[in-house]
Amino acid sequence: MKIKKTAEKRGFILVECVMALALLMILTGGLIAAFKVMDKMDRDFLQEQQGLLVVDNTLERLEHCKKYSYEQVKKIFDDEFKTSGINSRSGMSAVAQKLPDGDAKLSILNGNRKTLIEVKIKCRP
Amino acid sequence: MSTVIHKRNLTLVEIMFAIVLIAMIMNLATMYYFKGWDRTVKSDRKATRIMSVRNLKTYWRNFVHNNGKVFIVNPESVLFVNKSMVSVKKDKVIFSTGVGDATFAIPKDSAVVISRESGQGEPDRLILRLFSTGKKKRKLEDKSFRLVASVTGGAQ
Repeated sequence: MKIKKTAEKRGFILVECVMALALLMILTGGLIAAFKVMDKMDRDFLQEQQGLLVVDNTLERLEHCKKYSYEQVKKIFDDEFKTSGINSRSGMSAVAQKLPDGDAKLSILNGNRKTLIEVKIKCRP
Repeated sequence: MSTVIHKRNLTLVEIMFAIVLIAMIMNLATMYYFKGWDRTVKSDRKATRIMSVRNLKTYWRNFVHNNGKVFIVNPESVLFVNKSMVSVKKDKVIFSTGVGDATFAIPKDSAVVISRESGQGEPDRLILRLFSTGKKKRKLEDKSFRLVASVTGGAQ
């Protein structure tokens, strides 16, 4: 028996094209999201480093004072935070707390109120 | 069994569609490649800057503590009473003593400025500030690192 088969070469149908474009868009969307996350991480890293320096500079200044009360610790800490160059739009904040025993607790919080650095300082009034 | 293939040329619209699609994909790929590359370079510079800041901070503080009283301070240099000196050149910070010099490279696109501060009830302090510089060498305050060193020789 002789079978005659006709195979016609066809182009892509609409559904195939749409599927391909959708896949491409998903991949692109993923990449854009990844870049956004990287941007945020990059910014946060810089802010964290600056926050670390705020505490470090505060400790350096206190180390060379013979006496310091809680008020002075707070003043120095606030002064360092203000002059550190941390961008006010980043939402980072410096919090000084007086502990029941008269010591000071210094914290640097990020925009989500998460503690980045926390230091307890024994005051020498 | 025989197979018959009807071959036809692509129409102009189909070819144009294919070209546009390929151009879009190539454009995206190139864009993300260069974006990724740019990001890598920037991150590398940032890491270098932070490493430089750490090295500089330790050396700067020790230097100021060891040399005591300050004689003259200006944005590009500090001269101590014992003739030791810190000077900022174009792309480096030089710590000079009678024994020798130590040189630290300033990271690319950065500038260093030295200043002096004094506060109530605190010893004087020297501030070394490392700025990132933007367009036209503008100093970016929000991308700066402030390195404080207390002058242990007492207030001058």
